[in-house]
Amino acid sequence: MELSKTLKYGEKLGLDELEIFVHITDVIDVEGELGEISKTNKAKETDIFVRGIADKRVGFGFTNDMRFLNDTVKKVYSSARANKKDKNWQDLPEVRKYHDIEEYDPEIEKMSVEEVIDTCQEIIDLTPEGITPAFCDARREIGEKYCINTNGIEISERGTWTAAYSYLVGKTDAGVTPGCLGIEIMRRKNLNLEKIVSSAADDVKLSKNLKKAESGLKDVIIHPYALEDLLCYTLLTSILGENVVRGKSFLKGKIGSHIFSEKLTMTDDPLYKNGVSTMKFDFEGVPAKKTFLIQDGVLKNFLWNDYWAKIGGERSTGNAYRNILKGTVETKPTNIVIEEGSDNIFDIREGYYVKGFQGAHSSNPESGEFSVVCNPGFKVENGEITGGCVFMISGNIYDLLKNIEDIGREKITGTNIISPLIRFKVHTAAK
Amino acid sequence: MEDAIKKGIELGEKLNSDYCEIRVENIDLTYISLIDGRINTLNQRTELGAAIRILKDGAWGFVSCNIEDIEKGVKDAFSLAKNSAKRRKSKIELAEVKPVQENVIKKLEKPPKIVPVGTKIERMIDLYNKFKKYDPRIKAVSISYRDGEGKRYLFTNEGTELIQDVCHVWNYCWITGKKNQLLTSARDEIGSVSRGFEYFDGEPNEEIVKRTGKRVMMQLEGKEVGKGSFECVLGPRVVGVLAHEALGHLSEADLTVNSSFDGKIGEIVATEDIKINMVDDIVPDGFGNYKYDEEGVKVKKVEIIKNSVLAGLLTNREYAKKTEMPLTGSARAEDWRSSPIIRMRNTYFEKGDFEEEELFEGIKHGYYCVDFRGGQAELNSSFQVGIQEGYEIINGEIGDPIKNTSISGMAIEALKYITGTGKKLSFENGRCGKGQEAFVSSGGPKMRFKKGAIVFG
Repeated sequence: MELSKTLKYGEKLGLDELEIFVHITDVIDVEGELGEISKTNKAKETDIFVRGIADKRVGFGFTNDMRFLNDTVKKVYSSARANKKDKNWQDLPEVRKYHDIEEYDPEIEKMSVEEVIDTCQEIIDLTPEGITPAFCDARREIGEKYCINTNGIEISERGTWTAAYSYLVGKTDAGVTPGCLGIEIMRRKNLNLEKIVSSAADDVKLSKNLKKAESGLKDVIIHPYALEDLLCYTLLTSILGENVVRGKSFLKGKIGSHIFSEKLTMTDDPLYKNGVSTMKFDFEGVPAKKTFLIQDGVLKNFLWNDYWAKIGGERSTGNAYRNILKGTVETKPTNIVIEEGSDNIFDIREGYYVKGFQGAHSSNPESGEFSVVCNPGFKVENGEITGGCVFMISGNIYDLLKNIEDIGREKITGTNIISPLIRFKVHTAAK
Repeated sequence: MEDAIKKGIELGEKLNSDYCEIRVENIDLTYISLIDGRINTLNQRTELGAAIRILKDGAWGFVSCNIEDIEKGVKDAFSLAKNSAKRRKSKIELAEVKPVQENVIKKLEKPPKIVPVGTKIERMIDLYNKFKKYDPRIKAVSISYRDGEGKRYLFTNEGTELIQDVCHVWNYCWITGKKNQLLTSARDEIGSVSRGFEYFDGEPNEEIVKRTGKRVMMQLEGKEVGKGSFECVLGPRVVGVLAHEALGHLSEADLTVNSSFDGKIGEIVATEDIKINMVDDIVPDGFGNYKYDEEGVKVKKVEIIKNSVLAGLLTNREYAKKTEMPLTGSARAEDWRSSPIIRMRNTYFEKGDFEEEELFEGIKHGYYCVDFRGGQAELNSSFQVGIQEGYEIINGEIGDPIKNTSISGMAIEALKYITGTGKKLSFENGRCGKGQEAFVSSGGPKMRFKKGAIVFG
C-alpha cells in the first residue's frame, strides 16, 4: 500500500504525527440450523483507522473506503483541533524489531464456498441420532493488517483462520439439556470435525443423566472454555496496565508478590503456534512478544499499549487493540497460555466438572468477586464423570487462583486461552 | 441511492430469485469516551453499506458490501443461496406480507447531528465533575457516549419500499470506588431511540450520579449474602432481566424448538394463584421501538404469557411460516453487516394488583434485589443475574444493603413460585447480545417469589 503520500498530506494540514491502520477481512461463513444448512454469508470489509496529533491534541477517524482517506485525515485534523490538549501524550510508537512469524495457510485462502458448505454439512451429518443439531457453523477467514506512522513504522502481515462449531441439545423428561458446544479455531486447514461434534455430543449424553449437586467447599475442575470467560471479566481486566495506572486494579503494587498458587504459570503469548491471536504486530504496529504474567505464582508483568505504557513508565508489550465500532485504541490480551502440571486431574472421589459459565460478565472486575452458574456442569464420582448437574460457584478470582489443587497434563485450546483442565477448591451452591 | 437499490432488486428478479431484499444504511455516528475527565476517543463517522439477502430454491444467501458493489453483491448472494440449497432436504419458505411503501419520518427536538460536539463533551465533563464531587471514595470514572442519526432503506422484489428515519442516543458510566484495600464498581446505562439529544433533559446528570454513586457506596459498605434459596422481592429492573433473558429468549421462535418452551404453547407455565402476563410490545420511550422490522413487517404486541399460559412466540417471516404462528415484526439486524434474526424489543411482565407493603409483608428473612450488573440465560431456562443493588428484608422491612451476589434458578420453575406482582410498572433500557447487538427495554412491576425458586450464590 502506498500510504506515505497520505502521511505527507497530514503534515501539510498541520498534523505533527499521523498513523494509518488498515484491517481487511474476507469471510465465507455457513450457518446450519436444526440439521439443515440455513444460510451462506460472504463479507469483505476494509476498516481504516486514522489517528493524528496536533499540538498534543489527539484526533481519531475511520472510513471503510480508501478513496475517502484524505477526507478522513482532514476530519482527524478538525477532531484533533476540537479536542483538549493531552498533557500525557508523548508520541506514536517507534520502530522496533519484529519476530519472523506468519500464520498463513494458502489452502485456507483457496477454500471455495462449496467447500465451506460441505464442511458445515459434515458437522450436521456427524451428529448422533437422538441429539438435536440446534446450530452449527463453518467458516474461513483471511485477514490482512497494515500499519504506517510518521515515526517510521511501516509493516504488514496476513493471516488465515478456519473455524467450526456444533451446538447440540438433547431432550429430557423435564425439558432440554443445557446446550453443549464443540468448537475449533485453527490457523491451518486441519479442523477435526469428528472431535468437534463428539465432544458436544458426549456432553449432551452425560447431561441427560441428571445428578444432584451439593453445596459446600468442593473440588471443581474447570475446562478452558469456562475458565477463559471467568478470567476475561476478572483477572485479565486487572492485568491491563491502564487499569493499574487508573487505580482500578487489585494488582496495583503487587508485581513480584507471590499472590497466586505456585503451580500457576501464565503468559500472554502472541507468538504461540496456531494461536487464534498469534500475530507479528499489534493494532498500532508494535511487535508482538511473549510476556510472563504469572510465574510459579508470582505476579511478573502487566499488559500495555503504547499510550498507557508511556504514562506508566513502561514499554508497550504489543497488546494494543482497535475497537471497530468505537474507534478506540484499547489494550487486550492475545493468547493466554497456562502451563501444564503433572497430576491426574480427575483423581478425586467426588467433585464437579464445568465446561461453561453463565453470567461471568456480571463479575466485579475491580475486586475479582464472581458468582456464576455452571452450565453445562457435571458430577465427578470416583474419578469418572457420571452425569450432568447445574449449580453455582462464587468467590474471588484471587482466592480461586491461590487455591489450585491440580493442573492437568495436556493443554486444550479454547478461543482466547490455551490451558489444561484445572482443579480448584471453591464454594458451590446447589440449585 | 434509491436508484442503486432498485437496480439491484431488478437484477435479483432477472436472476429469478424467489425473494430478494436489499437493506441500505446511511447513518452518521458519534462515539466519545471520557476516561477520568480526559477525552480518550472522539470518533465521528458515516456508516454506509448494503445488506443483500436472497432466497433461492429454499435457502438463503447473504452478502454485505459497499453500495457501489450492490449489483455484484446480488449476483454473489444469488449464487450463495443456490449452492446452499443443493444440500437442503426441506425448503425455507416465508410467511406472506403485504408490501409496504412508506417513508417513516422521525421528528426530533435536538437531532444529534446538529448538536455541536462541544455540547456533547461538556455534558460528559459535567457528569465526571459531579461524580468526583459525590464522594472521595470514587477513584475512577469511565463515561461513554454514542449517538447515531440517519436512514435505513428496505426494498424487496415483492414491492416493499420502506425508508425509516433512525436515531439513537446512549450514555454509559462505569464507576470505581475504593475503601482501604477494597475495590468495587457500579454501572449505569441509559438511552433512547425515540428522542434526540433532548432525551438528556429528562435524565439530568445529578440523577445519574446520585443513583450510580449510591450503588458504588453500597458495594463498599454492604453485607455479604447468605448462600441458598430465600424468599425475595425483585424490583422492576431485575424482573425485566428475568423477562428478557430467562423467558424472552425461549420465546424467540428460532430458539423455542431447542428450549424448555418447546411444545408448551397453550400450557400453563406460571402460577395459577395469580394471573401472570408477559409481553413484548412498543412502550413509551422503549429502546426497542420501531414501526417496522427489517423485513418490512409492522411491529405488533406479542402476548408471550397470558393468564399464566404460554400464548405466543416472537417470529420473523421464516419462522412464522414454519411454526404457523402470527407475524410479530421481530426481525432485527444490528447493522448492514448483519442478517436479520428474531429479537425482542421491549419485554416485560404486566402489572398486578399487590400494594407495595403487601409484597414485603410477612417475609422474616429474605432479600430485595433492585438493580443488576449483567444477566444471562440458557435454553434450559437456567438464568443468572448479577446484583449491584440489593437489601436484606427483615420482618417485612427493607434492611441493610447487600453486596457481591448473584441470583439464579430455572425460570420455568421460578414462574410457579411467584406470590405477588405490584401495581407500578417500570423499565430499564439496555442492550442484548445474540451474536449481534440490539437496543432493548425490559421491565415489569415488583414481584415476590417464595423460597425454593431463586438461589443466591
